Amino acid sequence: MPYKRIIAAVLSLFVAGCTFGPPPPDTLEVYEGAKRPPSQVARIANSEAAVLILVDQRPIRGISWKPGTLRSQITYELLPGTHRLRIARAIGEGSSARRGQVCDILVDLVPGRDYRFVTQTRTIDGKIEWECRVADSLTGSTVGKIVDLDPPLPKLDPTLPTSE
Amino acid sequence: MFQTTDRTRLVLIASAALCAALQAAGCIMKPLTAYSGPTLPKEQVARIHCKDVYVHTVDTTPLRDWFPAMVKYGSETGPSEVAAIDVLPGKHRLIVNFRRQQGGMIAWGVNSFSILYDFKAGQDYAFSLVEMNNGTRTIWRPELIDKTTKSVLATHESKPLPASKSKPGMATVRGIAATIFNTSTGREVVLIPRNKATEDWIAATNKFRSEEGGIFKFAPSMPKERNKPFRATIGYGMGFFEFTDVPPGEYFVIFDSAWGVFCSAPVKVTAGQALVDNVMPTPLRSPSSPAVPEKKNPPANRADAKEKPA
Repeated sequence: MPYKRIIAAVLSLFVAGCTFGPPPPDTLEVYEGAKRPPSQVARIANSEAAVLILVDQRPIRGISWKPGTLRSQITYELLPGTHRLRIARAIGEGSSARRGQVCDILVDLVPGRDYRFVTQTRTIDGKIEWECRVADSLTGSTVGKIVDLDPPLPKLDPTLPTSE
Repeated sequence: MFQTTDRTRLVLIASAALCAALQAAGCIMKPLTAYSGPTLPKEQVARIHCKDVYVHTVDTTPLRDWFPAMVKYGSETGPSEVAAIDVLPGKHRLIVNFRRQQGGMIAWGVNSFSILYDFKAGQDYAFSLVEMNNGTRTIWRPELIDKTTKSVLATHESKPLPASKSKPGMATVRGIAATIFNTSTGREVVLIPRNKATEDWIAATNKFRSEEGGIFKFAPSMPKERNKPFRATIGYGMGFFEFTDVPPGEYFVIFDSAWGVFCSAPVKVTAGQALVDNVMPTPLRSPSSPAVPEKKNPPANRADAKEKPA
């Protein structure tokens, strides 16, 4: 029966693909177009304490649900220049991973450089205060500044006449 | 299927177990009195609330020594479910650690910290737990805070206190006992006399620890000759320790760290000497002889390679 052999072959390929498929990448490009060399991008690494969730107010694709890759091990490649990063406090790993507080940091990224998140968590009576900053991995110095989560509405000029 | 009598018996047993558990929980939730004598009213004691950080030793006494029936923990842990402890007013050193449950996992601090503070009667104190992550690892530290105002009153000891004065003709022996990952803070450091029996014991223990352990191997037992004098203290700060009133003679300072690293240091107190400072017990060293040649001590058995952070 040839069709049985075909089914068996397809099933074998399917099983092999599931078992030996390529591992999820640890580095993700957060930019459009062709992949660029390391000297032309800036790298930001997640950690056990903080993860990147938005770049320039756009969600980045995550791969934490894929088996074999922990969210904390992902490094993102961004184009150099000024970016608004939204960083979330990471709670747990794998299937129990959750997000805690978030903060927005405006940062000017330099090509070829590596960055990491430095966090401080203060727990008092079960309440958690969380601070995050972005540091240059080489020098350890802080880069960028924390900005308000939601840009405040522009103030109305009181000298302008109202519509009424 | 159970018969009615069996079912009734089961319900009774379950009820009794539930009552016992609730009673135990009630005991633990009640503030513990970390002092001797009758229980004093709240106005006469300082109450330390433990939520994110717990106290396992007050001064040099582990809490389990006050509550042996209730607190049956190993030497590395403490009464982490205790909601609060009452201490007498005055200066106390608290050895603290943290314990956190996330899902089915329980996290403990590898090392404890000590906080020295002059507690006031009638005041309520608490802790804040500060965790810093630099992208690769997380370190923590405790802060003692005023429970009402949340202001920070004290943080962990990071420097040794000035040396205490010993009686005339005796010396103060002090130093720091720590491995790469473990400090002696909240752990025992002992001072034993140096003689042939203790030298042999240290050499044998170093050899035992340097070899791959087998389940049928037993650690060498301490010789009786170590008993006179035998002194023990609890490390504080970053692993600092101090023995006062040590008579002239030769000794060993021993720190047997939690993860099986055995540290020792020889100490000699000469007549008229008042202070022996900067004693640092180290692993895999025998003062009498290189009991275990370097070749037999592969790096994998050294403290820096063997121990892994939790």
